[in-house]
Amino acid sequence: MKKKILLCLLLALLSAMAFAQSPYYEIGDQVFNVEAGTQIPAFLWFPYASQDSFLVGSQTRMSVGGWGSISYSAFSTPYISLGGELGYGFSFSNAGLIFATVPISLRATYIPIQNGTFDLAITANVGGAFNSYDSDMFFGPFASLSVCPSYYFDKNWGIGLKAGMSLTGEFYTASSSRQQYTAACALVPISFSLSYRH
Amino acid sequence: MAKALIIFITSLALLCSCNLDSSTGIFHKVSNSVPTTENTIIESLGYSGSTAWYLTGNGIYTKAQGASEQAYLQNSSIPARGARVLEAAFAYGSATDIVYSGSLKINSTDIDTEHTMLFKALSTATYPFPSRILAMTKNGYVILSSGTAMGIYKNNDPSAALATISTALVPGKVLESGNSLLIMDSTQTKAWIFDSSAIQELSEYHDYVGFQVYDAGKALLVDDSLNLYKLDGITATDTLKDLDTFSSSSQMRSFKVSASQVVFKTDSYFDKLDITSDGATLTSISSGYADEIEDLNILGIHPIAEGSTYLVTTQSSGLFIIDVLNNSKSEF
Repeated sequence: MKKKILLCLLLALLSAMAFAQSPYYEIGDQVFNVEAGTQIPAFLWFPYASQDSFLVGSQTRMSVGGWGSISYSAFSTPYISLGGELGYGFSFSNAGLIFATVPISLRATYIPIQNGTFDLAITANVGGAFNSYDSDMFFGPFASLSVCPSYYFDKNWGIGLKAGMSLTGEFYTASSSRQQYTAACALVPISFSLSYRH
Repeated sequence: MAKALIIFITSLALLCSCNLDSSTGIFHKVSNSVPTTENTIIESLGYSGSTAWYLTGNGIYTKAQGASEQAYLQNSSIPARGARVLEAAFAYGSATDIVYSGSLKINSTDIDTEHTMLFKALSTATYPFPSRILAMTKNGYVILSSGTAMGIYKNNDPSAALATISTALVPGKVLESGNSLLIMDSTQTKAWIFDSSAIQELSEYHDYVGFQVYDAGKALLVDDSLNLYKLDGITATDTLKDLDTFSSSSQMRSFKVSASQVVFKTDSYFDKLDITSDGATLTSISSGYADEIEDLNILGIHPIAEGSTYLVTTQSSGLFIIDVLNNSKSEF
């Protein structure tokens, strides 16, 4: 019960911080981000497979791997910035081979909490990803949703911890006779973020 | 802004259209990946005495189901300095004795010379074949050349040839199935079928990659274009359907399920052929064991209990049992 009360108080405090003062960012402000961290396999879904169609965690036979990205955004309103992101993630399969994903996406970031020192950013990305494994490569759709609290230790520079979930996949039509290989792959990237704003 | 968005979306659409449709699926491959073994297998020797036998770069090893592998003949144990086993097979008619050809460094100039020896559990002896070995097969034969002819011998008895081809042609590729051999010459003009004791030239030549005897005197042949031929006697008739894609130039793997059913390992699937009196029906197996081992480099498929379970030996992913009746795969 005490925990619930504390949580409510914290949320109330954050809300008060967010709305008690005017927004920090102005239209046209820009933010550059560099991220580095880890990538955890969440699930693989094979919607047309006759068996083992939903594999979770270690069942995917992918290891915890690495994740990094660079991104740029510009504020179109004081609370929303738009931009692009280029990422690179990798994991090892049970065979010791690298699965690599290189997403290229557009991103929209909503920053409901911003006071100049502390930001809470919610980012949605949509685009495509080059996925490769062994000698195969497939360019498929990509989407992700993440949350990143950041602390700005001076006017321009800030550090943060970002976590979310990304979704990519490969699609085969029924006419290709490979429809059973249609798959969706969910990954959980968790990374440290270094931001520069001006 | 709108223009940039249109360019981005168009680029994505273009990249999507460039996807090749030849893959068996990246995520499918990842989810079926298996750990590589330390000891890479070069040849699968067979299944005998409830044990898998195979040749690695370190020598000949055995493995019983559920047990760890055991060294049967390590290269370091060969009674000759710097020797290693190049290829091996069960001695003709034996389930425990191994014949192997080894590479021996015979002097300090590092010139390798092949010798063939008979290795038994209790003794080792050099086996002096009188002529050059052209091929050693897993079903117990050696093909020897004497310059103007080639003879087929039991690999543990060089006293008399089982059959001789009186020709100066050199055999190129040798495929085997059961007690039979399919021998092609290196000039790709002639092919012979050897069956236990008799040999006959085929009436027509193709570059065969698959050979499977499925009933007494009857066999299936697959050429490099995936045409499937039914062989009855010495005549190959192209009456059967073609198999699925198979890009490798190496031997196509197959196994006999019954006297009227054969399964071929192709690139994307296992193709099951049901042979009838007036033709054949072909169906692809793309689930169960076929789905799980299709991406592995399979070196041999040997019956544990013909018609139901088979040992699958892979190059670097270990050994498996496939159950044809239940269409499942398990670790060996």
